Amino acid sequence: MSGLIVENVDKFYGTVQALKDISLTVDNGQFVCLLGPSGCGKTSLLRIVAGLEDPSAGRIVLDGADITTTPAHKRDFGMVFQSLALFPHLTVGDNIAYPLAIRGVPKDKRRAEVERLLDLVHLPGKADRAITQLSGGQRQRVAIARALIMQPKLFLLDEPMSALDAKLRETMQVEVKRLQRSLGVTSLLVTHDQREAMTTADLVVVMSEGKIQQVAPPIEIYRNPANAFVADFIGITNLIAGRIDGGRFEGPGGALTLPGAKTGNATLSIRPEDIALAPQAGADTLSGTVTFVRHLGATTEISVDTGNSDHKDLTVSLPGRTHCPLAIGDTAHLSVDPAAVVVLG
Amino acid sequence: MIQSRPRTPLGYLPILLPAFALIAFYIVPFGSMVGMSFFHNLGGGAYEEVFTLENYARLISPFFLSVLGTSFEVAFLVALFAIVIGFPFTYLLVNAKRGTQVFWLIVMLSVLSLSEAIIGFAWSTLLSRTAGIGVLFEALGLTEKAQSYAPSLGAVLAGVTYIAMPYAVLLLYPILSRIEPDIEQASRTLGASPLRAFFNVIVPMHRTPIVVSFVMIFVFTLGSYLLPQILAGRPTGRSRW
Repeated sequence: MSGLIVENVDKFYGTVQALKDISLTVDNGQFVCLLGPSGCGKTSLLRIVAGLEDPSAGRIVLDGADITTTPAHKRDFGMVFQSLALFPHLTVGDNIAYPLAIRGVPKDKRRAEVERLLDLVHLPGKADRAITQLSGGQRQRVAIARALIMQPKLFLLDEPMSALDAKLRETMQVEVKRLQRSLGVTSLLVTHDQREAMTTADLVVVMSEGKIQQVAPPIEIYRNPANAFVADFIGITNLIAGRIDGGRFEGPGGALTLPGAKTGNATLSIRPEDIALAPQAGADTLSGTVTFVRHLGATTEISVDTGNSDHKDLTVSLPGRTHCPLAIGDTAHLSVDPAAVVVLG
Repeated sequence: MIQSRPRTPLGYLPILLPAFALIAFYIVPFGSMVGMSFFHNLGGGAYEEVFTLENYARLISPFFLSVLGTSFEVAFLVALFAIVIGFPFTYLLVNAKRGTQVFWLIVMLSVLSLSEAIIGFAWSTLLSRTAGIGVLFEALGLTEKAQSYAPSLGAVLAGVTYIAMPYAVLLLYPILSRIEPDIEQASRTLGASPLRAFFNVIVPMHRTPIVVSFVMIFVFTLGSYLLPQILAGRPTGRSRW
């Protein structure tokens, strides 16, 4: 069995349980993203995989070998830290060459490898610079190069992009993904930014309160969330609680036909872009009062109060050039494509 | 910075007191000492007001140069020991639990609260033949017969290092407590054992504070007088460090 296997890992800090029976398989060459709000245990899991912390229970297996008790410096992983943790007293080149220097690789060979890595991260000729002379984005690239120079079995990233400004962050995300794909290195990225996860990951692991909520490819997570937490955390969604009876959903604001849906209490998750305006109330519409209209350029967002249980207005997102006849206080009728509705238990 | 001058002569009044103190207690005594150094020395603190350079001639005599050399040697070794012991100690300390940190900082500060004379006599007892560690060594079978380790150069080094250590720790503590734990962990994920991470990253990263602390302890030790008196003995009756 090749790849990384996390088996029934628990982690306690004192009496607080940060990880609850986590099991996860990462195939070789895959880019897996641990996604969740802060405090969900994603960083603890990454640090356990890196060997910086011990699990309270469970095993870490890499390519068939149990590495649970292998110290961090013998795992041959490359890790990029949130603070980057570049060594301030070394030049760019010496930072990148550090893993080679530790392993006694001769100087001229180190030099050649550093040049290769600097080209790879688009920083050619910067080997003799001091770290303090670099911009945030450049430091990021140095940290990535340093983690990759040993051709690690596992490339670990702990929210490394979170300190960058929004535009640079998106550029780096695309670049990290391209780099990973061209090198084929198995990667594990921790993030709380769902756009980052969608950009980089082959597989997204959504975590909350120390548990895995769902493991699936990004688009699958978005289209078929496993539960209300995932639906709400990934992108924007409308959660509508009601009751399904004989393939028909009855909830606040109206009813919808959902062929084949199981009878019982249910919460629907409907994405704002899957809702359209209907000319009048019908058998398959939800109705409510418009409470806000936002013209955002690319889209127009309409908030509609349908009397939803927790007083959360429904959000409707229309393409920007669609004519929106509604104003605050008007009654809106909303139609929904049944295929886009996710029924949560 | 405020850069306005007083508008009236009265505005200079606040600096008069410190200026007076500086002149009365520093410049005048120091000046009189410099002046006295050019007078003929009669011994016993008495002098004759005749201009001479004989005191300076004596200073550069081989005897006093060797005494001076010993002073520098001791100060250098003490500064070296204090940093070599103090740096790893402080590094462990900043990574320890809060309670442990407080405990050791209090221990360090209480060493500073002891008078140098007490420390000197404690060390000379500790290193003595009848009541010191020599007895312990004999009991453990390390040496055949208990012997005295003071007075000796080693005893001076031990005593002065003991006093210098708290300074080393207190100088290094604020600097070391600011390192991100990520730095050490990063070097570990990159293949360095904790020990190599310490010597390859943590130490070179702090070479400036290490040199600064070394120089400060060196200068501080250079003027130490009482401990060498107690722990080195005075075989010639005149030698002092």
